[in-house]
Amino acid sequence: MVQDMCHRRPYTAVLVVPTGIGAAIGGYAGDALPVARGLAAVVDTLITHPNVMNGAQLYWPVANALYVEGYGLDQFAAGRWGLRPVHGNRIGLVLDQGIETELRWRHLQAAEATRATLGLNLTDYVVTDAPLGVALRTAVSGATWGTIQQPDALLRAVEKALAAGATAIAVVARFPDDTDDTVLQNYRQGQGVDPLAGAEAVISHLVVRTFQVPCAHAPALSPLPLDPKISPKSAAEEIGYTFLPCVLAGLSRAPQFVMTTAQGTALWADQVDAIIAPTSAWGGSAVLSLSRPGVQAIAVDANTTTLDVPAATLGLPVVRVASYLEAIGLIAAHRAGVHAHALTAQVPRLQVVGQGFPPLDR
Amino acid sequence: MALVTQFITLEISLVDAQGDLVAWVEAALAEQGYPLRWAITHVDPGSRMATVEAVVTVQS
Repeated sequence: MVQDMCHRRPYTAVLVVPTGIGAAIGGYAGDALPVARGLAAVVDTLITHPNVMNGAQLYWPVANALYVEGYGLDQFAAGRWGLRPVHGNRIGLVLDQGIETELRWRHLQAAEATRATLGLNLTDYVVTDAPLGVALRTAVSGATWGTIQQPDALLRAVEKALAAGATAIAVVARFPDDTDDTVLQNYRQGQGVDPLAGAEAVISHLVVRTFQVPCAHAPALSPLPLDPKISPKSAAEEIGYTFLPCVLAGLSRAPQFVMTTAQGTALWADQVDAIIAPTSAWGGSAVLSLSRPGVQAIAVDANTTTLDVPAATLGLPVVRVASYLEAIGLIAAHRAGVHAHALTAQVPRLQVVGQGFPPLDR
Repeated sequence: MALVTQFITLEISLVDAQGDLVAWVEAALAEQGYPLRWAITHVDPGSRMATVEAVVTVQS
């Protein structure tokens, strides 16, 4: 959708599907990527995060999408950091010492494949000086969280990668294979909450908070036995030995973070036109920051989660839509300057000031 | 001293929250550690108390 950009300003939307909260769309193996593709077709710039774009072996190079790690997205949304697009990043691969030899080779081969077949730019890789020790938990809310026992080992390894010339960091940590069987089976059926997600977020957040560089994480796991009944939503994570390709593809053009406007041309939060997030998950930092006048806030009912924090409970106005299909339509209308009421069968009459229009949402 | 992460839960009053809610939550979390990841995961409509689940880091 190339337009004459001289006579209007670019339309920028932020798509958030928080990880680890059992989002019906986006809580599995990159199953929100089609949403990102659809939204990207009706905006000039789509800002979203790895959970949306990562499909393990699968990914899609959405030219006008910015791949922004969650901590970085929180800082961007709060107006503290800007996003500076790049032509390409040099990716430093950080591997957990706790990954066994054969699985390490699988990851290195995945990385080599992206170099030869996709032309990605990687530094030599770094192995952490101690096993990272991933631990998984589930919170009372049902959201998953987790951590690593050796965050300092992670940060030391990242420091080495940056010293070797990396401008973006891909971390691969060894995750436990002995996840609760019921939880894992649910996930493979496209239900329940991703048990790994919370820990993955902590890993990449640590890197981005400390070094202010793009980062994404891929868990290292042993392959699962074949199950003919797995859900299509989880299938992308069953077709290879690693989840690394999508991470490297995403990081290859992830925007750099800038801290001040003096650091060159960048996108800042005051240029955001719309935020789209699940209706029941309005309590995250980035979504709260962007829930302000001047930003079209769209809550998608179909994307149910384990949480129950709609915008109304926080006193924040949003437009609720039934589906991402409707969200895409609303964004297209907003971008075109068309009032959404004009697209309905009943166009309300003008009223005297003070009585206002009836709400569009449900 | 080693960096460690801690999972914490806070209750904050939306009635008392002044201005920027994000900054309000972060200030409350900062009393426990350096905030890394957080979200409001529940709101009691009656009391207007919000539950925040968070991961913070501390040096131990």
